[in-house]
Amino acid sequence: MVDKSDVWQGTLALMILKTLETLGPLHGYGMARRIEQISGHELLVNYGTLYPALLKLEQEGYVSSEWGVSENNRKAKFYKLTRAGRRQIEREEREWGKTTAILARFLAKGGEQS
Amino acid sequence: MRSLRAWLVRLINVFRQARGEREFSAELESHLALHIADNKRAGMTPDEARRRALLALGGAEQTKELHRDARGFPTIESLVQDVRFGVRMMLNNPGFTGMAVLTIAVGIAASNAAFTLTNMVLLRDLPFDRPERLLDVGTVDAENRGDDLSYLDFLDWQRSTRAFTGLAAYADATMNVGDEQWAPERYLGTYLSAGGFRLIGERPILGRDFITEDDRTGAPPVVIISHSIWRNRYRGDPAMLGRTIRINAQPATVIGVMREGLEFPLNSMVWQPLALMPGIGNQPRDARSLQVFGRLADGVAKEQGLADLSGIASQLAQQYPQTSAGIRPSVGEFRPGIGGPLYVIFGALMVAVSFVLLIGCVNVANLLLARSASRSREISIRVSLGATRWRIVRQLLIESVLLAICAGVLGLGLSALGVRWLFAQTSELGRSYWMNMTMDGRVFAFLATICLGTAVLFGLAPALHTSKATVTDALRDGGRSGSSGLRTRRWTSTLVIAEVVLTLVLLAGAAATLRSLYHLHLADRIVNTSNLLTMRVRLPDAKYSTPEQRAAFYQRLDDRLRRTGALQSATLTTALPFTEGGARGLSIGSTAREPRERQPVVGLVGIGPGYFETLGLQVMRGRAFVDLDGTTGREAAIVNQRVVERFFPQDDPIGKQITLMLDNRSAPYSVTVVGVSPTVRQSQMSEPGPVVYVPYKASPNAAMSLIVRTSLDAGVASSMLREEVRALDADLPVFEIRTMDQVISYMLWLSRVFGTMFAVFAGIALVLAAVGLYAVTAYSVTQRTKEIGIRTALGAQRAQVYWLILRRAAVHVTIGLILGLAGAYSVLGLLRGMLVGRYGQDLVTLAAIAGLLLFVCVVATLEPARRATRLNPVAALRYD
Repeated sequence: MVDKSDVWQGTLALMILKTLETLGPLHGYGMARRIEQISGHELLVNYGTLYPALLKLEQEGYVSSEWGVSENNRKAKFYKLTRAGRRQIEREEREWGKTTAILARFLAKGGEQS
Repeated sequence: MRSLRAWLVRLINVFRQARGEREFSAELESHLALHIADNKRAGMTPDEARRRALLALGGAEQTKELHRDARGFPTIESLVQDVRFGVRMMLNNPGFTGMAVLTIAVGIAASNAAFTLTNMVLLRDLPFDRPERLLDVGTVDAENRGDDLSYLDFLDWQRSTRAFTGLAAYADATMNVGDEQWAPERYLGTYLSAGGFRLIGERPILGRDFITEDDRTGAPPVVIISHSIWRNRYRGDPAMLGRTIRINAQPATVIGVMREGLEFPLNSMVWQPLALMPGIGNQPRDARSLQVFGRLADGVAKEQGLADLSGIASQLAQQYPQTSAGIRPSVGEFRPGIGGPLYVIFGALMVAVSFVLLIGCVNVANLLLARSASRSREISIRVSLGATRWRIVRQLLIESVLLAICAGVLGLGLSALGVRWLFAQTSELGRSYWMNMTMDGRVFAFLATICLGTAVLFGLAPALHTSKATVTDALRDGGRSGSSGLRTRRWTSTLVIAEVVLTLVLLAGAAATLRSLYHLHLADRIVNTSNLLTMRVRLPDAKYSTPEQRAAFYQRLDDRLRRTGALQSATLTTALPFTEGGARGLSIGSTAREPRERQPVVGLVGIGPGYFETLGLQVMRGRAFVDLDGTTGREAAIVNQRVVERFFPQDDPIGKQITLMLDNRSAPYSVTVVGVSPTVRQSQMSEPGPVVYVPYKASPNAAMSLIVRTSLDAGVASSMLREEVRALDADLPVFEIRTMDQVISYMLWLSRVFGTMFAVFAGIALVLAAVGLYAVTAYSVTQRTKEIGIRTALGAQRAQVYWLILRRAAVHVTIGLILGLAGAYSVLGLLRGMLVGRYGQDLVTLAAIAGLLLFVCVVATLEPARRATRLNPVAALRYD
């Protein structure tokens, strides 16, 4: 298995939280398909890497899980955003915003000079 | 915060592994089911749908593994796994486990018991208030000889010191406690300066402590008694305070009763102010016999205390150059009763014990190595599954630690028994009141350290060896045979040799101690000790200050005893047989021609007329003493056979004159030899030496022993004797009433305890060595099964196969014996001074021990060798 760097892991975690915020409670498979849809095969090399990330989020208390029934009446484990998770999203969005802004200025300047 | 929460969750998950495993399996299954359903709906066949789903997932097992690692703590979980595996291994091999655990347990038990004893005597804090602030204070002269303090020195130091909150001095003395109602009893007592109890943080529970006014010459005499005297002798009399009792025939007022269990400094039950010690006022400044201790003031370091006292001492050296020039203070740990020789004895004890432990470790290491061959397959599989060498070593080490822990628990139980035995042995010797054999934190820390230490010691080498061998083996097609055998063999050979060496040294020590014990017990018992009762009297200086007074008393006592019908015989002596007499320098002739240091030393015993008769001996040549002997002009002596052998080898000593000298300052004493007696040993340690007997009249001691032979029961006889003495002097108790057998066994205590310990250790070592050699030989046979098969098939006879197996063992054992003999010889040389004299260092004994060990080793290797000869060559050739 390819070892993901921490940066990618962080982005994956944020994507999971955002997906849950947008789409509401989802099971692992559903989340994987959605993330694949949006980011292509770059972020999620294979669906298996989703689960450790979900586990970490659950351990940190940002999501909670519950067994339920899917659309076609199959048993599945659904993940839900917690209040702490919502706060984390806000925090992360701000951080990312700052990072990209600084980076954009940097790159733009560099572009100008070269 | 979040990461802390995550961490805690993971910790809890360590205990819920199975559940987590199940849940995630279910989740994965549901994921796959959903994906497969989608795929099917997209038109794929069921097989294709499943394949694609699995591919997209990235593999079920890998996903599970990732999830598992993120769930809990992989390190802890693998450790738990290792432990469980280790426990299973142990339970599956009960024989091996039992042997290994027992071997180490014995070593641990011995070490623990020895350390408990050492801790009790040398290391543990004394029951004083903040004992680390107390210091023992002594003096050192210009030639670096240590000594105590004199009274005048003590007073000056006490007055001038600023680094100590106080100094106190004490001297032990026997104190006869008497009063009108009951017979006097002798106790050990202490003269203690005022403030002494306060320095150690004690005060009387009834009444008051000594104050400075009590501790002055001419002050009204007072006494503090111990709780047990108050309880037992005075029945807890509530009106004890203010009563007048007699201490050493002098009246004294009881002013205090100490708490239960206090017998400061060692076993004292009576305390009087130092000023009351007879003669202390007249002691010159260079009579240094007082023990002194002090408490450092808060914040003062030991070095500052020493510097402070040094300043005072140098001032006194200037003021009194005659007595105090070059006298400097010395300070050390305050531990009353513990001196240099004890440190040596305990040192020897710990060394002997570590031998046993070491032999045990060597044995188990050998067993582990021998067993490593049977585990090579398992380890090869582990390696091929991706285990690193470290992981394998860790697994093996954990197994060793588990063994050590079991051994530690068992050893703890065994050591409790050992400690109880040692306790019982030392009780007759009079332990100090502050010694009690409980296992405190330090002992448990020692136990834990030993457990882990032995685990590493016996486990590390085999673990490293086993893991290394099999990693390379797994790549080849190794298995049981192959060159790994050679490497293992080298290790086991070294260990076998080491074990033989250690065992031989222990055996030699045991043999030496036992031989000397035998001699002490049996060979010297020419005295007929049946029905022999002994006791001591001590005449206080106040009432019997001149030799004439003492001689007169003894004469009266002697006459009384001889007239008593119930006694078959009675006599007086300054030193009982098997106890130390005085030492004198001997010169042949009527004068001493050399200084004392160059004269040969003989023992001196003062005896009464019926001495030899009472002991059941007869003077061999010449005659026994008569009444006139010992008076001026008729100085006579009887010498023992040893004296004749050493100083009169050719001539007849009867009629010759010899001169005895105590030291260079006193006058020599010339006597004429009138008789030769059999040799009776006077000292407890080495062989019987030359002894000169003189009539006690010539120099009557303040303390004398009585020996009586009587068929009366000991209790009846002792009351009768007490009455006889009381009739002559009401204040004089008799004490130390023991049968001669008890005297001897008391004297032999040290040899007996050490001898038993050595014998037990040596026995254990012998068994361990045999077991170890057996295991190693059995392993070697297994290693060489193919080779033996080939040889047998090619026509080797049984005898040749035997020799094949035994040869290697024989070589190891022989090397071990040679090295061991050298080691034993030197160790015995070291022990010589301490315990055994010349016994045991002779070649005969050493050869006998070597022979015994050789025999045991041969027997141990016979069984595996026999099995080798029984090998079916066909099966052996197929063996792999």
